[in-house]
Amino acid sequence: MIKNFFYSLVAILFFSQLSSQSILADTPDGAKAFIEDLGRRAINSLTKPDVSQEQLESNFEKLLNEGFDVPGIARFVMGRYWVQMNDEQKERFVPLFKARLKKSYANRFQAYRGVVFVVKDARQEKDHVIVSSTIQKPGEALTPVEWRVAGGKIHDVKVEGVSMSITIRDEYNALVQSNNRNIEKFMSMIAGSVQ
Amino acid sequence: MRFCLLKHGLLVATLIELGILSSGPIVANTIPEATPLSASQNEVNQSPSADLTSSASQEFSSDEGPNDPLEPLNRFVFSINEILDFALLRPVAEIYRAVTPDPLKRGVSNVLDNLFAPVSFLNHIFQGEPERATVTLFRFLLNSSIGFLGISDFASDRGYPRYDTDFNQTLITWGIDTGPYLVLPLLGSSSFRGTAGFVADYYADPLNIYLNNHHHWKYHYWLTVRYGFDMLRNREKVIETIDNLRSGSFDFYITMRSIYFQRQAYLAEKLKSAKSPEVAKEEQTRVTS
Repeated sequence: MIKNFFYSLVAILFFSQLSSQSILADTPDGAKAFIEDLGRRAINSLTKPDVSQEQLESNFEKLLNEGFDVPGIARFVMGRYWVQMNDEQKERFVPLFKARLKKSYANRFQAYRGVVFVVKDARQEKDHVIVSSTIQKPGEALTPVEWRVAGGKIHDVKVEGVSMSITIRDEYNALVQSNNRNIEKFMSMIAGSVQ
Repeated sequence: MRFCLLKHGLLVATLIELGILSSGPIVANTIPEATPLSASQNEVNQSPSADLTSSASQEFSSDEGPNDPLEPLNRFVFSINEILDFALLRPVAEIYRAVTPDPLKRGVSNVLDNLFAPVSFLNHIFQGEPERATVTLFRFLLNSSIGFLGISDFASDRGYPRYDTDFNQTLITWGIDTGPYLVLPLLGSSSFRGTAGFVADYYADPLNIYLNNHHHWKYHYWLTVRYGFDMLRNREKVIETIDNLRSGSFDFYITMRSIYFQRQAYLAEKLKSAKSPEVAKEEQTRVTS
């Protein structure tokens, strides 16, 4: 009885903390702290030398789950075709999209070894916060990076004005079109690329 | 053909030979251009302010695709560029990176940047930015003299930031739309406006005018060297970036086109806010860092 009560208490505390973190991340200061923490952890875990591919992908997935609104981004990148997909396709697409992100991005962080990541400021824009930061590779110019944070999660990353979500959306929309707007064919392509 | 090559330098002559005068970014999107200040449909579609959290039906109802009526031709030129990049430009950029010490690379970049300063000066005037024009002119005079023909960026060290601009940006400030997307031989992603900007800058450049007014081959050789090195240094900076984009894309052409239009919009945004003290301060920090 006491044990159950203790577990319940821990669970309540844990979830209430998560919830308050989400709420905090929606304020400019909270979003700044959230991005600072995530960036520091990404640099620590994804730029380590001598890490196996599996470990790298696992670290990336962990950060992806914790920091990014993957279902929201998945919906966005499908553009106008999202509304044409049935529920079963939508359900299948989200994990496929996550696997694709993992495959495409996990290795890229190796090039960021030794970078200096600085979070500069954050501003409220309607229902989200834009966090501005810079990344500087040794001997190179500063690269401005903006993070769109809402609901305690990242919805988009823009590097020098180039949005990850919009770039993927443009590509996916063109792919669906080139497959005669056949969502199944498109999804087969995505599935094939992550195997 | 030979005369033409000598007359204008290999790069521009090749484009003229192909009937397409060039513009814009050297090596596929490494240099930002811009979309118009007035919101065209294309700009709205590419707008980074698209709300990712609103409902899907509202979000994407205005998505009518990119401004790319010449896509078949663009794809053809793009594929030729890919072959040239794979066989020539990327390997040479790798060699350049491997054999050139960083101080020398910096020196080469400084010289090239300094050579483009007169064009920036003219464009700042066209954009109604006398302060930036003055700083750019002053930098050019300082770096060309005390900076040993621009090898050293003496002016930045003395607190005079670099304000690069071009005629494409001037056209943005005049409210001119990008026009259709255009892939240029060797130069990569551009647009009708970007092409016009490049041509205007080329023919307004005092050094180009001087070199083109001499009919001896060695003057035109220097033109080729100038633009060749400019292309090389820009390609060297983005070896990994391009590799990553290429390997992570199903359709690299679409990816590059998307990035091009987004950077156009980004540059237009930056130009809009360029007069704010925060932006000027930020630019200064970037230059001196």
